Amino acid sequence: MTQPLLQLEQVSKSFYTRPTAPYELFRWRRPARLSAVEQLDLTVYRGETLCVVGESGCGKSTMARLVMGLLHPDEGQINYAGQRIDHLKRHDRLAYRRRMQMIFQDPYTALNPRLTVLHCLLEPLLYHQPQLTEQEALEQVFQQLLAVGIDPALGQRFPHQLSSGQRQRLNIARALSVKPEFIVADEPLSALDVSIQAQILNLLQDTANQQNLTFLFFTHNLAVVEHIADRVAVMYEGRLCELTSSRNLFKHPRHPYTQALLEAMPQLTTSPQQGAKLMGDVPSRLQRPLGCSLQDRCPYANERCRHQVPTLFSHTDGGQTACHALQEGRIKP
Amino acid sequence: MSPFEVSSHKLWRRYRRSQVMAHLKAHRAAFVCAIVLLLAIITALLAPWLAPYNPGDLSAHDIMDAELPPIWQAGGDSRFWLGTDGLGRDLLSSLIYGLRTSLAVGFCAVLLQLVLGVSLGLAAGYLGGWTDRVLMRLADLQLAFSSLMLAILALAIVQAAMGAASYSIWAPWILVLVLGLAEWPQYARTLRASVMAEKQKDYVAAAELLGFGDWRIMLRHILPNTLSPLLIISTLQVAHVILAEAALSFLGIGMPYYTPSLGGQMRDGFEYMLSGSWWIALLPGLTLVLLLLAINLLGDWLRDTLDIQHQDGPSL
Repeated sequence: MTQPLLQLEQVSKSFYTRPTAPYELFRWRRPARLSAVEQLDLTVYRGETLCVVGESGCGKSTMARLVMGLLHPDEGQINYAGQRIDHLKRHDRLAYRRRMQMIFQDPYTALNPRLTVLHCLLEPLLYHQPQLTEQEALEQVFQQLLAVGIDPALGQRFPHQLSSGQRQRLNIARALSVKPEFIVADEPLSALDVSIQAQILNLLQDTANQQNLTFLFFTHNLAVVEHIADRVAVMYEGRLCELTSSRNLFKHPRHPYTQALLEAMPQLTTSPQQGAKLMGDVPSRLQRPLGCSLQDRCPYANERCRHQVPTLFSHTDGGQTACHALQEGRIKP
Repeated sequence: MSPFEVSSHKLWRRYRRSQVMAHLKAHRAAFVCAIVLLLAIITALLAPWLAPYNPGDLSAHDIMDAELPPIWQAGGDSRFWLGTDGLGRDLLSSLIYGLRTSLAVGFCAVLLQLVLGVSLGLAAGYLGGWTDRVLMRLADLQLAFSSLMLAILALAIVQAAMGAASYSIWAPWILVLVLGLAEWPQYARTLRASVMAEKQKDYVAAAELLGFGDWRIMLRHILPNTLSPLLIISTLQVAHVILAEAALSFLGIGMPYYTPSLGGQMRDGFEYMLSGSWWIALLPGLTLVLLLLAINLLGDWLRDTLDIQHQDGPSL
């Protein structure tokens, strides 16, 4: 857990608005810029499970796609096992493709509707190991199916004939079929029933332990974080607010946003409010204010927060936060 | 049972139990249309055995038999059920052979359109960028020409260059080529739109992440998921091409006059219309209407069925 596997250095990615209605073509207007991810610094160590939490639209999916190379960063660089990978052409990237795999949010659209369960798993297997005989390939596929808890008798079914839990299991089996060392999971539970979420989560955790996988897990569900994370990165509006171990995050959250996030977690026991309570609403991503993105909602905001973007700084226990108030000691840590 | 291949017996069982069959039975008009089309295709295929005479065999005709009415009319001859044309040829035989020409030209031209349109549309939609821009501007250019006008131009030039004798041999193939080339944008545009929609879906990203090559992703993952719009356009295009062939033959630049085609027969019959021999023009016309109606209704039904049942649509 000391060797860095994935390093993001000052990674930024913006999208531009397009005219959505015909009349907008005749209005002279510069396309608005939406910066989905801004100057992100993050290191994932080999063998750990790093959770990225944040509300909808904070740039989690963009980050996942940047890491997987489905999107290319505007600025910054991404290193994988010490090699820079973000600028690689498609062909050169192939060497890294099989080492990292992704599990998608919607298990249904992530499966080709015209491939049966068996074909879905046979295809990657035979593509990468064409020397396998039919019998060997089938045997391996059956093992993969059993490993994720799908009855091989369902092999001839199409994705629309499976339950959503089975679909997500199939997605996991497909991702594992190329024997990756690193898995990026983009909210793999949010499209599932609550009763199935726990099963899938346990499945992910078990495979991670058995095969010594490194996990980058994107979620907005704090209960999931508490369950599986070694470290947690809290994201707000495309930036990191806090990066700390899972235990510290839940024991004493530092950043005002993290405190509010934990406060918003529904709990069975009512405890007196401790942390910050946020005011207002999430600002529009198109008209981003200068300075800290939390400035309008944070009770501790002052003049500096309105002009200068906070950067991550380390605390004595190894946790990192990006907050002027914390750094200046306006909030007692 | 090997999962790699499905035996033909199993395919047939799957087809019998499939929803295509159930939907077809539930929809009576479509069922009738399917039967009409099937009969037309069988008739066209078996023309040499079904037709009483060979319209191409000039020695078999007698000019004395010219303009005989159908047998239910006064003066009808029992040898010629549907009467004869101005040269004494049996109209029923001409209709059967004409149907053969029309269907052959229709299916072949649509096949050519399909191959061209699908490959160009797939390339434009998947590769995007400059490939897309160039191909789509070419498609715009092609659509700006009326395909009939283009066909007239091309056929007239070819006819002049080759001379009537050699043209008549190549006429069907040239027709197929011209009609096939003129309408590829119909396919290319629809396919491009479907491909772009499919490309957004996660399963394409997943295929990319598994390391598959462009060809495999295009042909094995995206193309099979764009089949339903292709199927619908194909049925409508067959009708369109048959009509275009009939129109060109009617104008005298399609099939040579001694090769029976439905459009050509209508043109021939047109000259006898005023002398009272209505059947020479009307019967080929009715055949054409029936054929096109069946194909169009079938296409409409197919579109409705595939649209409503998007998720559990017929497994094709």
